[in-house]
Amino acid sequence: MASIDISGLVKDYHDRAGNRTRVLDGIDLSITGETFVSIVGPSGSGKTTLLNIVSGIESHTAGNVSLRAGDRDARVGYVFQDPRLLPWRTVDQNLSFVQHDRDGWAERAQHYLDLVGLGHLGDRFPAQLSGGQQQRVGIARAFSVEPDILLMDEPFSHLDAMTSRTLREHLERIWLESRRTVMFVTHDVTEAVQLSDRIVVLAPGGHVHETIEVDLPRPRRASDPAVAVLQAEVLARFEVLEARAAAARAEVPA
Amino acid sequence: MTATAIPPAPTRTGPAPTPRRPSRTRALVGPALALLASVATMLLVWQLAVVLGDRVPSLADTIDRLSAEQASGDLWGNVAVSMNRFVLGLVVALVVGTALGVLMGLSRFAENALTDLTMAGLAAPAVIWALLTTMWFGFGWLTPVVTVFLAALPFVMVNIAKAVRAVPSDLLLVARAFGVSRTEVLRHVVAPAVAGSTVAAVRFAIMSAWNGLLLAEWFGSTSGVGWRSRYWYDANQLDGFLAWVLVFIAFLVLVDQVVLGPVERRLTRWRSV
Amino acid sequence: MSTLVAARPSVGRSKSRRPASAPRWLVSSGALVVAVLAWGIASAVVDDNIAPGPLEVLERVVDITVSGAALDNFASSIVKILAGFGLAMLAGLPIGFAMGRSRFLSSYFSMPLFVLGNVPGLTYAVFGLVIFGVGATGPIVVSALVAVPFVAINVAEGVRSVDGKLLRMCQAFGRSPADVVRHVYLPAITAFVFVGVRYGFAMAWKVEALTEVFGARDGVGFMIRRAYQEFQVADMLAWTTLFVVAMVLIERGLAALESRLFAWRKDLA
Repeated sequence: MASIDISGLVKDYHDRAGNRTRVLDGIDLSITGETFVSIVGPSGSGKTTLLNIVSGIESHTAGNVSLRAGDRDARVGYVFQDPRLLPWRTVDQNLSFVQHDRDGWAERAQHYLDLVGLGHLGDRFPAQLSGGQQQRVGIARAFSVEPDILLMDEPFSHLDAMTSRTLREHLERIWLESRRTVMFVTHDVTEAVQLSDRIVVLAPGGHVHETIEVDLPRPRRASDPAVAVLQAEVLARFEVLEARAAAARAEVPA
Repeated sequence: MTATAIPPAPTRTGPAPTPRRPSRTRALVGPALALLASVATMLLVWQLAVVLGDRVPSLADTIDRLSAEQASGDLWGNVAVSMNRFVLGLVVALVVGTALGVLMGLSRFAENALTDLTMAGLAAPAVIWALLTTMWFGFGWLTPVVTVFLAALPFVMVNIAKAVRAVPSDLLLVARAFGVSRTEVLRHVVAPAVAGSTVAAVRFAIMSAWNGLLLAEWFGSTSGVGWRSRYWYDANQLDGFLAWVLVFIAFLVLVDQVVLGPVERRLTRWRSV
Repeated sequence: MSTLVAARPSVGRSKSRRPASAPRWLVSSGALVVAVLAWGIASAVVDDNIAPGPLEVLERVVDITVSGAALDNFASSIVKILAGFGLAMLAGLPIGFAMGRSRFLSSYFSMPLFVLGNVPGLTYAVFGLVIFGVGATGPIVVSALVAVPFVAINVAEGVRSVDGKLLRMCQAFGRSPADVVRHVYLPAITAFVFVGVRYGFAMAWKVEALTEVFGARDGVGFMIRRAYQEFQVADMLAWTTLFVVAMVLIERGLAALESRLFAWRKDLA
């Protein structure tokens, strides 16, 4: 069983003049098993930094991060904000490129492309796809490496409302079919409620403000009253936090 | 055909987009140090060529010869003669080329009619114009002037046509919708759009014309910088020839770095912001 | 010779906003016919050996082509250019890679490359002849020197164009440096190098031909020089015509190849 364990995580940035800015201030977080966890928070609360540190793209200043699957290191799949496909490789070749395990990758790739509804477009170049299709390829790519842990950084934020709703439904369906430990960063509270088992709210300054368990049946629909009620409730709490963050920003001269 | 469909080089002058953080002093000292090292290396390579190839004259000999040319009045005299021819041919090429280029940019018919001829003009080496004009006009002023004109013309046409096509029609519509005046449109919409290709037109025209001028004077003239370099070559005095090569290079560096470079940077500032 | 610029693969933005009129081929061939007619009339008016008419030149073109002289001399010139380009690649690839990765080296090489790319062809021709004599070495070295800046500057641009986001994607998926070079850097560089070669080719060939004008045993430039010395203007024009036609055909061929090889590019897709 896969797990992400974060304890006492601290991240400082230093600017050119040598001033220190603390973006993450002692994060403790543990995600275990086939759980879908969303990280939400106002901008500047360090969501993306946290995800980048977990994935190993960025280093951290203090604390521990461990990604385990049973008694070995976990394998990670990543979905970025933008598709980040190699423009000179076809869809199939883009999926092939990230495989650790050459055996049977073609079937895996085909399987996940089918799940996102792009099974027939494997020989297209990214430039020949729409933005939404490219992002679906990005999702299929992340699942196709059979990751123990899936990290997602606001994967739908660059898409229009219709496309991102369809993609959320795609994502939930794939996840239900092939469950992983997911850490999903978003600024969109309704999206978090629809997708997650648990929502971790980060506060400005980089610490965990609160954790909300979402215990609603799946598959969920945005139009489901229970979902809508919870969305409204979380949104209200989140707005208080954002107002406080804005006030704090106004007090500190830039 | 050569280097026409290319935007002006951001590489030579603009800073490399590496996201490292250089301190202010390093940012200034770095390029200067690099330039210094670069010049030192070039001199070293020259010195190596002097030692290894027994026909290559040394830097000291070349400089000596250059100052002798200056003392005898041959340097500035020939430069002045050549500049007259160069400027005359270039200005005519710019005027004619701009007229034809604007025509090509505005009318599809003119574009179709002139593109193949322009391509042929770009592909023809300047030496052929130099040789033909020498046969046609003999050793007079027409030979270099016509060569300069013919060498520069297709470059002006192609790049001016490109400049005209670069005027954004959608922005013109926006301007019209907001009732912006004609001069304002010219200043804020048309001028910035055509600036890059126009500078490119002038730059390519100068480089090609200069090359043509030297060849025309080499084959068909009894004065000018090209003739003077041939004089030393025929006398088998390579230090004299090399002294003039330094003049040729100095001219190009001057035009590129001192005249066109700053103009181009100013006109295309908005791109890098 | 010509100014040196990085040949960024052009982003196709030439949307036609004019209505279609007479077919393109009709207009362009019509213009060619008019140009040739004007030439014919001018030569009839001058009526001198130094201004042969188009028919006379065409006759010479046919003679030269049928006798095999065209093939021999063009082959000789092109082999020299290819050899020169091979050398230019060997030197230009590492220089360009270094320039793309280091700001210092980029400044360091920019001056010599500017000089190499902008020195008038006359200089190359004379030094090629003086140092290497009339053999094939002079034109080969000269075309290599002319091509190096085109290759190097475009490799540097290609390296700089590699998207940092793609590199981080590779890191997130745990790709090896070898994979990154092969799948990210190489494809990015090839497109740029190809464009550089396309533009460098015309430049290199002109200077190579000029070197042959100054001294060679064969090649197109040499044939032009010989015709000039024998005062055979029709021959000169015939060789020039062949040169221009060959150049335009090669340029079109390379452009077509480019759009096939780089089908992934947005503007071509």
